[in-house]
Amino acid sequence: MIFKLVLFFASASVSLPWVEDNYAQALAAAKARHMPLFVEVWAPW
Amino acid sequence: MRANVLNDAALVKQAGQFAWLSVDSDKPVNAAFVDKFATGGVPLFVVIDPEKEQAVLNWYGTATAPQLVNLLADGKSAIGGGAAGADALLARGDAMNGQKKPAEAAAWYEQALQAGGPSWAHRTRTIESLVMAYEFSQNLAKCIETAAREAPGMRRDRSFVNTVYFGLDCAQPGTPELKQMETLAEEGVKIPGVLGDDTSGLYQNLAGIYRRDKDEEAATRTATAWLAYLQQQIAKAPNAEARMGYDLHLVSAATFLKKPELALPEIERAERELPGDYNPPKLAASLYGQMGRYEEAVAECDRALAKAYGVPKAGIYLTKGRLLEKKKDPEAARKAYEDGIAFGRTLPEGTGKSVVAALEKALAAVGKTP
Repeated sequence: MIFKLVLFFASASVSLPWVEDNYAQALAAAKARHMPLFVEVWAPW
Repeated sequence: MRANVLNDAALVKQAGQFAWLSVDSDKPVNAAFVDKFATGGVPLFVVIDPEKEQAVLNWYGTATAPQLVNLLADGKSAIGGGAAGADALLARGDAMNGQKKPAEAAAWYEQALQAGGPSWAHRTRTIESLVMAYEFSQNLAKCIETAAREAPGMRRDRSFVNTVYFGLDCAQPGTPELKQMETLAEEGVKIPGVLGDDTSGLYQNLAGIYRRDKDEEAATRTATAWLAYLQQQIAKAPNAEARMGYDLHLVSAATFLKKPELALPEIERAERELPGDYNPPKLAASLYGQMGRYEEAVAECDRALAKAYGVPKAGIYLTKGRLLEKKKDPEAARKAYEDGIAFGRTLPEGTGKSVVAALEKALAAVGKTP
């Protein structure tokens, strides 16, 4: 049970470090770290 | 999809391998990005080579977490180079797709399929990309030819559903290929474990095609099953945001069946649960309008306008004006259209053009129709 709870909180506390609605900032971060930039384009509807 | 797939542990494991950007396509601040990288609808996933500022991979529509992980790997490999054989041909197709050249992309995808053969690991993904590329390049004959050839042999999963979805779009009325796609779609909507957005989209497409082809019995049967499916998904959804994703589809299903009252209680609940979201009042306005309850519909428009932004906000002004015309209040309708035009002209160049044109047309016609 304790093990399950630890797992739950461990997974709940980790998420992807999204930059929201700022292409220039995300691009600069990708260039600085020499990494590809992954973009999710969505709409609220 | 946003509520679950993008938080999947398999994706989170990739956190240190990429920079991550989330773009709300409705926000004016993102207009230049959307103009440069997007051609179809949303969701859209893009892998960008930051040094060249070029998309090396574009993926339209939903994806499961394992599929996204594979797309990330494909994008990374495309930037790094070094792919050989069918994988290299696939990367060329992806690059053309990323440059908004779907016809050229399709040619590379065709070659990749031939080179990869039946057991190639990327075969299913390439079939999906090929069918989409043909549709985006308006090559409907090749689109349905591919879907009809490939879909029957595909594993019954999300990729199958997506391929049949595009096949339905591309098939011509009265052809054996359309009949084949309809049969496969009837099977596709029942496949377990497919993302709700995809199953719902297939139901919608199938019902619409039956109605277009004057088979009202099949259209109603399909839409009734669609609505029941959505109600089941809403009942199982873990939170208000996940329910909202289905609510958008639910209103479409109820509208299709000309039974707006079937969606109203759920939309009223969404409005209580998500007070900052413009979608519930926007959807409620549509439902009340269909029910002839124009006063309530206009009030919902006002609530939606207070929260909305970008092109959708201009669209809500248009809806409000039309409702006011139905309410026999042309002066208030005129004001709504004028407000919408003024707002639409503040949007970044190009983005609000068509809705402003629709508002201007509506304004010019106010009071001229009985």
